[in-house]
Amino acid sequence: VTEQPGSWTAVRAPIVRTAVSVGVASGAYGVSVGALGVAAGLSVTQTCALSLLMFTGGSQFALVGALGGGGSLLSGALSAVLLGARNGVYGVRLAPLLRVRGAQRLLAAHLVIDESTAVALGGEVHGVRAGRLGFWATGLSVFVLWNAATLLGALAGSEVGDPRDFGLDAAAPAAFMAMLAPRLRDRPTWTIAVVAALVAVAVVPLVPAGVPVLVAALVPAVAVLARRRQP
Amino acid sequence: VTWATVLLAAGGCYLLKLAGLQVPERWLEHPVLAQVSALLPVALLAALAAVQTSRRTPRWRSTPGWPESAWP
Repeated sequence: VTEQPGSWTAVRAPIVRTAVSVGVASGAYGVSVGALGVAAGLSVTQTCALSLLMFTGGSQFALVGALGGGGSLLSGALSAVLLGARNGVYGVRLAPLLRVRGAQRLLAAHLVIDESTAVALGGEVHGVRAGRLGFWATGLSVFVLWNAATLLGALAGSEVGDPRDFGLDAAAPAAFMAMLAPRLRDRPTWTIAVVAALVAVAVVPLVPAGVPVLVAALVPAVAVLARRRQP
Repeated sequence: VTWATVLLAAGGCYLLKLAGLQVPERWLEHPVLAQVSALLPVALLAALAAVQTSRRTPRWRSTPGWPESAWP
């Protein structure tokens, strides 16, 4: 990966724009997690603490769902943590890009989520600096907007509608597609993209939430091992 | 009890995120893992885009357990 300092401004602008639009899109779901949290019997403070401290959407929905459905608290907590397992895989891939130490690593860890990982990997194509900008800008943008939206949803309660009605939720997948495009340079990368997408969508009804992306992450591993077996 | 659950689950999620970043970089220097790591972004971005797109299809509207059931 090479870095071209001359074109930095041209690289920076779209990354920052993506970070903001992905943050706004996640805010639509933040409103839901706030409203659902209060509906499940959490206080406004507890609901906001969940977004501040857990800060990984799928896990929050799982825990709130378990609390609201009267399920066991322990199993709710366990499924929330299971749902967060993919963030660990993201961290392994992000570590060599971010190269964070000490307090910076503790802070970076909190921001390891789907969105920040996606924009970091999208930026990485344009160099290490762009990848790091993608991570921090998106992590902070989502953190601020997700938490503001949670507070709004917790206060407004069920008066706020379905996030899909706002049409904002399309922004994140559209941004991920845009970041995927420059990586599709040859047939092997195309094949991996198509197979990973199909596998992920196919297993959605079969496995717990949070697992489809982990299954898709196995696709490159299988591809590499299969290629090495060939003489 | 609710506070304990919230804090415990949040702590677990944070430790998983941190554990990923703690993995030594030299693990990814192994030839097989380096190739997997190079291809991983394509698989992750494709899967995230695909699952999030299917998540917003109106079909999920009537699905019990939405939205947590359709998280990537």
